[in-house]
Amino acid sequence: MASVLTAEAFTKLLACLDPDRERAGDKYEDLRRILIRFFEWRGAPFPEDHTDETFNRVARKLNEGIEIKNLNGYCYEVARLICLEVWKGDASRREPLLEAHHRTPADANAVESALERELLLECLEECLNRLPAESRALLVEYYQDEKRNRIERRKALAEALGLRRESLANRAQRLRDKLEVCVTKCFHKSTAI
Amino acid sequence: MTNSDEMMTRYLFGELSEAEQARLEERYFTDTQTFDQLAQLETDLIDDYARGRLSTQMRARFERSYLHNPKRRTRLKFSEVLTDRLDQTASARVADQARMKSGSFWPRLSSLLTGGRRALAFSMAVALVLLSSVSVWLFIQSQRLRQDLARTQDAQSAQAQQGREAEQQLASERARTEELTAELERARAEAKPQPAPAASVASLVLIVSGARAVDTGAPPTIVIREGTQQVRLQLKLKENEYQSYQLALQAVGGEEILKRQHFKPLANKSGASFALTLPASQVKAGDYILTLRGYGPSGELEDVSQSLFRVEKK
Repeated sequence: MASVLTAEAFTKLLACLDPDRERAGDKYEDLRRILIRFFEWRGAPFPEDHTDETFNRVARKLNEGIEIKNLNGYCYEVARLICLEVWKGDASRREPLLEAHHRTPADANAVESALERELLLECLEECLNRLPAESRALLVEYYQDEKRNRIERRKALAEALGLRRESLANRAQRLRDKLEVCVTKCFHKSTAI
Repeated sequence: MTNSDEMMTRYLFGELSEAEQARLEERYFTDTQTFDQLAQLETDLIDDYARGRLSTQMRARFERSYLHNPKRRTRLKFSEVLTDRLDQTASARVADQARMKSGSFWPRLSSLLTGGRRALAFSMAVALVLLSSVSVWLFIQSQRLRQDLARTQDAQSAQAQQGREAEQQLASERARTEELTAELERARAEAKPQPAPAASVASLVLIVSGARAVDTGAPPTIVIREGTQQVRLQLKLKENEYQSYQLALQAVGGEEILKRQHFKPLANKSGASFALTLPASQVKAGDYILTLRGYGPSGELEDVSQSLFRVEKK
C-alpha cells in the first residue's frame, strides 16, 4: 500500500497548502495531526502509515496535474477511502487480534503492564526533561487535577498569560501531543528487540 | 456539557451514525478550531478516566471504545503516567505552599529562588546577605563587649580580693607591731637601770620606680646598731601588675637569706608595698639584693625588680 513520496510531489503538496513555504509547512503539520487522529478515531490500526499513504495519493494527483481547490477536504475523502480499504482488508484479522488480547492470562498481563508502566515513566521523565521549563510549567498548570474548576482555571491561566482561551488550549494540546510522540518513540525504542 | 461536546463525545465513543460522523469529520478537516476542540475533549476525557473521575455510565462507554483499540490503549497509558506525574508535581507544590503559609522562611526563600519570580528572589537574596552581614557584625560586637565586661569583672573581683588580703595583712602587721611594742616595753622596763637602749628595729624603704626595674646608683644603706633586734625592709612598687609575688633576699655573692613565695603586697592608691621583717642577727654587714618576681597567669615567674642595698653594723 505504501508508496514513496518524491521531493517534487511533496513540493507541489506544500505549494497547494500555501504559497509561503513556512506557512505551508505549518499547515502540513496541522493536516498531518488531523489525519492521524482521524485514523485513530476511526480505529484504523496504523494511523501514521495511513496518513503517509493519504499524502502520497494526494501528491500523486497533484503531480498528475489535477487541480485541488480544498486540499483539506480532498485529503478527508482520500483518508475515508483508505479507511474503508483498511477495514475491508483487515476484517478477517481484526476480531481474532482483539480476542487474543483478552485471552492473555491475567497475571502475565499484570506483569507486562507493570513493566510497560515503568518504561513509560522513564520515557516520560526523559521527554519532560527535554522540554523547556516554561513548557513543563504550562503542562502542569493546564492539565492539573481540578475537575470542577477546570474551565475557570484555564480561563484565568489564559488571562494571566495574555492569550485567548483557544490559543492556550491549542498550545497546551500541541505540547502534549509532542510529548506523547516523544514518549511513544522512546517506549518503542526501549522495547525493540 | 454543551450539545457540541455531547456530539463530539459520541463521535469519540463511535456512537454517531455514519452521516453524523461524516458531517463532523468534514467540519474538523476544514476547521482547525473544531478539530482542536475535539482533541482537547478527548484529552480531558482520557485524563478523567485515568484519574477515576468518570461516572459509571461514562466509564462503561469509554471502556467499550477505548480498551479494545491498541492505539487508544497506548494513549490511555500515556495519560495514566502523565497525570500521575502532574498530580505528584501539583501535590508537592500544594505542600510547599502550605509550608510557606505556615510561616517557614527557608522553604519560601528556596521556592522564590527556584521559581519564576527571579527579580523578587534576587532582591530577597540581597536583603538576606545584608541582614546576615549586619547580624554577624552585631554578634562580633556583642562578643567583644561581653569579653570586655568579663575582663572588667575579673579585675574588680581581683582588686576586691587584694583589698581583703591587704586588710588581713595590715591587721596581722598591726598585731605584730603591738606585740613588738609590748615586747619593747617589757625590755625597757627590764633595762631601766641600764643606759639608754639602742633602737630595736632598723628600717629601710626601697622604692621600685617602674616594673622590671633594676635600681642603680649609690645603694641605700641601713644601719644596724648594737642591740637592734629586727630589720624591717619595705619595698614600694608603683605598678602592681601581678596577683602575687616572690621576694628573695640574698647577700651579694653569698647565700640567700630569705624567700617568700606567693607573697601579696599591701595595695593602696599610690601602688603597692611589701614589708619584710627578719631578725637583725641574721643580717651581716655587706651588700644585699632584694629580688621581686611576679607570678604570671599560668604560674610562671617573671622578673619585676632587683633592689640593691647596703647593711652597715655599728
